[in-house]
Amino acid sequence: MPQDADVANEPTRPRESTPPAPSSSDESGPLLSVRGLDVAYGDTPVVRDVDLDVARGERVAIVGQSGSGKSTVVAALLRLLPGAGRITGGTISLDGEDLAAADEARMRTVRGGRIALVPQDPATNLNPAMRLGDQVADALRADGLRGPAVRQRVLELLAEAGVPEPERRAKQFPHEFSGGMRQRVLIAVALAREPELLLADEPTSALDVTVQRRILDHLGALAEARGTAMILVTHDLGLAADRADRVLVMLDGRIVEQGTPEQVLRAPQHEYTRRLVAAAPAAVVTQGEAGARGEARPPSAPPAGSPADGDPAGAADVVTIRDLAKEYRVRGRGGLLRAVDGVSFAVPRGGTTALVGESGSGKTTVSRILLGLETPTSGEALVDGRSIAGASRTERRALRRRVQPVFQDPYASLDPTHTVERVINEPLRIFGIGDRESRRARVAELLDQVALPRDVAHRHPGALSGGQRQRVAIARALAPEPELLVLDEAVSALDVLVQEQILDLLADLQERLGVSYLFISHDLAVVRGIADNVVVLRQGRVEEQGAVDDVFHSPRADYTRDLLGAIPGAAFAR
Amino acid sequence: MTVIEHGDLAPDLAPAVVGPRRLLSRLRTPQAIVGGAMLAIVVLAGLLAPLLAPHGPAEVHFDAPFQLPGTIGYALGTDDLGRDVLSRMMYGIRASLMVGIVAVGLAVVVGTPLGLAAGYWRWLDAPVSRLTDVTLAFPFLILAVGLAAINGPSLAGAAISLGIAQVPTMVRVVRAETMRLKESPFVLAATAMDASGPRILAQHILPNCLSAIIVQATVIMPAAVLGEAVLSFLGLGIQPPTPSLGIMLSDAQQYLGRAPTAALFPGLAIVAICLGFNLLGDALRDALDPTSDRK
Repeated sequence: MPQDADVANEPTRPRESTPPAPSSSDESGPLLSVRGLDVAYGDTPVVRDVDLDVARGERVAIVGQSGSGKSTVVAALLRLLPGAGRITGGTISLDGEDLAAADEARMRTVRGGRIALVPQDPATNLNPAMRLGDQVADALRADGLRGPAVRQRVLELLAEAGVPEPERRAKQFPHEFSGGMRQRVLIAVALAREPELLLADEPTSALDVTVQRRILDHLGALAEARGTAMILVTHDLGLAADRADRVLVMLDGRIVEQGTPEQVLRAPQHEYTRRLVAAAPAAVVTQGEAGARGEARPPSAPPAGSPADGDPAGAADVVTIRDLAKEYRVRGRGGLLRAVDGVSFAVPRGGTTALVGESGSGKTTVSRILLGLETPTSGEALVDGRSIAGASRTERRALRRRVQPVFQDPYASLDPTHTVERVINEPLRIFGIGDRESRRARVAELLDQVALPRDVAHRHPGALSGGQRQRVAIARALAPEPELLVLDEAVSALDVLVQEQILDLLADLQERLGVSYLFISHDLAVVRGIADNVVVLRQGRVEEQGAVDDVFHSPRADYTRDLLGAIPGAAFAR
Repeated sequence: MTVIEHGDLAPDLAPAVVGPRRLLSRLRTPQAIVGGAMLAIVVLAGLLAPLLAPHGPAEVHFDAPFQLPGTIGYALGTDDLGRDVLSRMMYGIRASLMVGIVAVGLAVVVGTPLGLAAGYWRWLDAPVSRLTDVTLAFPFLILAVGLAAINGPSLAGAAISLGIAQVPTMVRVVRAETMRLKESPFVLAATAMDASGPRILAQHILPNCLSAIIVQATVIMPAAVLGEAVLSFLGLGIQPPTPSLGIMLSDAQQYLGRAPTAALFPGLAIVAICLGFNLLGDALRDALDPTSDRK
């Protein structure tokens, strides 16, 4: 597997947050000046009256949740609005030239040449059938470069972007690269024509945190060395504060707040920003201060006699995982991939255990084995001392009733053809709980528990927002009164404020129902807020485990330290 | 306890399914309207044939063969035996649509369960898929002709042959959908609550396959109608004197030089049926796909 080892670049954090150096030396005025920008899709306005200035060499971050219009602003700057999108008012002035009124031929010279884009998803933004070197060369040829100089420059750019062995790797195809490496190639493409302004639209959201940090460090260093201005679009306030000279907060198509990272984080003016700062999980990662959610949490050692029904044994651990291993056959090469390799840990009753790791760490495989969706190659995953693999049919049913999942994607985890009532009712029917009437009452009770109005019951999931759907998924999981919820990245797909609400709900439910959680996440900041114990996984092995405070304050493994250091916004959480 | 708000800030962006009312509004595209109108005319003509047809379908007028369209009493002319082309066409549409409906029904009834089973249970996938592969290796019409020869020439025989020949395409479509849906989180959640395979297939996967099945049915329908015409033309389908569009073509072929219109109109009816279903099917596919939201 290709690694994202950075050789040549020194970490740029913590960076002095000096105000942007207005380049008074050369041309006067900002590089980019947007005034009163309005953008609409069809008849629906999505961006309203946006003013934005970017000085030469300045780094501006635009922060907002999904649907806030932040990506639309970027698309409007490039005049690449999709579908029925169009600019309905305002000016976009680049060095005094109005791009909002420029014709297509003019825009072609601006795009890539003066304003370049680093797109979000490295998996889809490279041509899978073209060698990477050729894709960088394309950008150079568009600039008029010809002959052997192209190849020379391609190798230079790849090396600068942090691709090791550029001679060899330029001949490779995108599928031979990891996500982080692909993102480096995209950066090389963006920088190929020495643009004055870089637009980075969630450039690292699809990547693991440690890779994310290295890429952003690198991108920042490259931009700084060239004096390139940058607009960084992100949903992560902490990341924006780390990486920008100035932060703009967008809500419903408007800029509601702007200022230096300190101003925005320490003294937010707008109500929305205040909530965003309060909800930013990174802010919880502080010494001493327990954090708002910490108080609602049961103490690290959960009370032994928690009201776990059904099992009078009341053993201290709901789940015991012993030497668990899972191998997959790798297609083509005839080899075996050990996705999970000798993992052991326990989930104490009534508490929250977090399973942390990056993609490929095996955390989802562990959860699937626990849910009985996969069988382990060796070792065992015990629920209340019994293993679901190899259990008889009736025993398996009883075990499955005790462990219920909540998945990541609220849009895919509910059957779109069923009503909410039917979704929540399904486990009750399958496990034969109650009769028709009592099940109906139970569904209503569950809706109350997850704080959804009862009239949602007759709606289809399609009519609900992401957060509401996730509440329905939680209600469904709670329906058969399980002892353990497996929360597989259950809040990762949600906007920050919604995420906070769901985390509050989970903490509240745990307190009232005594249900245990196995909280699977890649996001350490969130884990810090909710978990009692942490298990850090890396490439199928347990890297470190222990109480959450111990792991966060005195991590023993280098990898854990790496992960902790990569949490965006940590620098401002003091 | 923390106060939890009901509404989240996230607006509802893309509904995952398209409800019936929404579907109708999304079907207001030129494609769907033209296709729907063509089909409406043809289907009505077929349905109302006993009421509207000026003559019986096999009524022979030896005094008026080879009349041109526009002749009084024979709006679209007559054929070599003086049979009214308009009347025969209306009855012929009935027969053709009947064959189409039976064939589609057969493909859906046989193909859907096979596709669901093959997509869901791995051990069943290989045998079912190999069988469909083998069947698909024969050109559709050749297979239908072979089956029709075995089944014997009749309307039912033609319909069953055409239906069997279309089963593999339905199996493939449903199998692919099932395999995709099987990995979706809501099916995993159902598995984790110990739902049985048949239950998951019936309650979760089949309802979510429906739009794909409907769209595939609109593809099979014109193929079956066309297939019927071919079988009847070859004498393997509906037997004269019962009219079908294929038989009319076959009869008129001998006299193409003298009375081309006797072949023209049934040909146009076939075109209208096929084009109508294709246009409507395309429009339906777009309308049922929640991601294809164009303003």
